[in-house]
Amino acid sequence: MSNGCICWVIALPSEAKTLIEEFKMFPIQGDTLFPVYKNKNEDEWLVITGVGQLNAASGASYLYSLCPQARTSFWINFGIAGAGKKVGNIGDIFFINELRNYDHDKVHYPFILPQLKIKNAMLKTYDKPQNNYQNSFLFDMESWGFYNIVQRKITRELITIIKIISDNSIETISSISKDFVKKLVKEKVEYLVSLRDIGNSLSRIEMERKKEPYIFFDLTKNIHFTFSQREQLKKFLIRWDVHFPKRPLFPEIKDLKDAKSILGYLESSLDSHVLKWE
Amino acid sequence: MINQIYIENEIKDHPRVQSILKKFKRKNPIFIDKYASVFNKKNQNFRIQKKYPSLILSQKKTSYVLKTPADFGIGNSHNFYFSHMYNCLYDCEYCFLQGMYSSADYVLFVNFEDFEEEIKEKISFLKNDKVTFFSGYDCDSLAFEKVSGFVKYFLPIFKKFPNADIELRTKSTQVDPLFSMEPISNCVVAFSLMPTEIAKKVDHKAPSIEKRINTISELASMGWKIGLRFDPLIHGENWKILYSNLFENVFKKIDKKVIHSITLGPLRFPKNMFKKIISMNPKSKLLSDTLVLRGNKISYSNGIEQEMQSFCTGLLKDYSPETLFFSCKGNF
Repeated sequence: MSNGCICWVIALPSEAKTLIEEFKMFPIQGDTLFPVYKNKNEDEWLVITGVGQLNAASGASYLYSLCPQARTSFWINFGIAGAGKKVGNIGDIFFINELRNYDHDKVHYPFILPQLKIKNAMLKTYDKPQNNYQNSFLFDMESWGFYNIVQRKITRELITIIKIISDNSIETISSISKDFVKKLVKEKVEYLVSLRDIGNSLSRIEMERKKEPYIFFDLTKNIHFTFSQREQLKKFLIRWDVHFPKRPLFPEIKDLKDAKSILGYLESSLDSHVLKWE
Repeated sequence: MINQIYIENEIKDHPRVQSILKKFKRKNPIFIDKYASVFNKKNQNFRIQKKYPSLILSQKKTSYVLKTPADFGIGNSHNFYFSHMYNCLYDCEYCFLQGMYSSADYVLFVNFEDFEEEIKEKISFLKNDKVTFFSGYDCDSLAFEKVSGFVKYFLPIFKKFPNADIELRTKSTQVDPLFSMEPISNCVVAFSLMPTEIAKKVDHKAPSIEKRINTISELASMGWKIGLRFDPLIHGENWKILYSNLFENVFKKIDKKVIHSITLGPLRFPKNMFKKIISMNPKSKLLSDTLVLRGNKISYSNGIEQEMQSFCTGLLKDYSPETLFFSCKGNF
C-alpha cells in the first residue's frame, strides 16, 4: 500500500521550526515564492506562508502546485491562536470543528478526525490581530483563508486545522515572542505526531483509490493511445487488477503492437470472465 | 459507531433530539443552522465518511411523502415512499445511495409528526383505494431503530388505517420493537436477501443471510407478514446453484402462508450515479463486472438480466403462487 503524504501550512517560522526538525525536513533549493520544506521521501511537505488569510491561501496554493501528491495529501493548517474566555489555557491544543470568518456568516465544519485525542473548539478568522478576549471561541488570522482555498481542490476529509492557545485574557498578545511560540509547539509535538499518523492513514486511503494501474505508464509511453483510448485503457486495467490480481498482463500482450489490439484483448478477456463468489 | 453528532439549532430542544442525545452521552454535539452545511457538500468523500460516519439531527421541511417511481409496488394501486433518514448503517456495494450523496453521514429527520400528518392526508384522500407506503427507500427501515424509534412511532399510526400498507425494508436483525408488539396486519416486514456467498462479499456490515433468515422465521412465527426481496439479482459463476440453495434455505425455514409478497429486481444503477459510485470504489468486484449502458441505466446485458429473472421466477413458482410476485425495479 502507498504511504500517505502530509502538507503543513504554517504562518510563522517559529511555529514551523519544531516540526521541520522533528520530521527531518529541509528547504527546497532555488527561488520559491514561499519558504517550502520537504523530507527525503517527499511525503512530508511544509510551507511558511506569513501572516494573514491571503498569505495562507496563496501559500497553500503554491504548495499544492509543488507537491506531486497534493491531491491525495492530508492538509494541516497549524499555528497559534488567541482564546476567548473559558476556552482554555495558554499552551492548550485544539482541533477546529467549526470555522467562521469575522466578515460574513458563512461557516465550514471540518471533518472530525477519528481517534484524535484533542479538545475541539470553534475558531473565527480576523484580518487584524485581536485583543478582545470576551468571546467564547478561538481566533486567528489564517485558518479561513487556508480552508476555503484547499476545500476547493481536495476532499474535505483530508483537511484539518490545529491551534495552540498563545494568548488569552490573562496573557495577552503583547507577551508573545518567537521563543515562547517555539516552546508552545515543542510541548505539544506528540499530539502533532499522532495527528500526522491519522492524516497519513486517511491520505493512504485516497492514494489507493486514485492510484493509476501500474502498467499504465509503461504502455502509454511506448504505444500511442488517443485521449479516449487512454481513459478506456485505465478503466480496463483497473478491472484487470480486480479480476486477475495474480495474472500479470504484460506477457499476454507483449506481442500486440497498437492501442486498438491491446484494448480489444483486454475487453474480450474481461467480458468473458465470470465472477467467482465462492 | 458515530463519529460526531450535529444538531440543527431549530430543533435542539425537540424531545426526540433530547432523547437521542441521552444515548450518546460522551459526544459533544455541534450545533448547525441546517443539515446541508455539513451533509453532501462539494468535495466530500463517501468512502472515508463511511468509515467514520457522523449523525446529523435535522427536521425535514417539505416533501415528506413522495410517489414511488413507476414500476415500483407490491400490489396496491397507489404507492408512496417517505424517508425519515438519509443513508444507512450498512455498506452494500450495489447501493445507489453511494452515488446519490457525496456524504455518508446519517441524516435523521426528527419531526415524525409532520410525516405522520402528510401520510394521514394521503390515506384520507385515497380512502377508497389500497395504498402502500415504503419506508426503506433512502435508508434501512430498522437498522437505526435503537436510536431513532421510527418503527415504534409509526406502526401504531398505520394500525389505525387498514387501507394503507406500510413496508419496512431491512437487512437488520435488530427487530426488538416488532418482537414486543402484536403483529399489524397491514405491515409488511420485507427482507433483502441474496446467496450467502455473494452477500459475504458485497453486503458489508450487514447481518449474515443466515441471521436474516432466522429473524424472518421468528417474525413469521409471530404472525408478521413477510416480504422477500431478491433485489438485486447478482450474476457470477454457479449463480443458478447459489440462488437455488438460497430459495431452498429460505422456504425450509419460513411458512409459505406468511409470505405477503416476493420481488425480484435486476442489478441496476442510474447512469449518472454509476461513474461516481465506481470512482469511489474502484476495487469492487461487483462494480468491475461487465455492465452495460441500457437507456438511462447501467446493468447486466439484457440477456443475463432476462435469464436470471426467468430462472429465479421459475424456481420461486415451486414455493409460492405467482400472484405474490411483484416488480420493484423503479424506472430511472
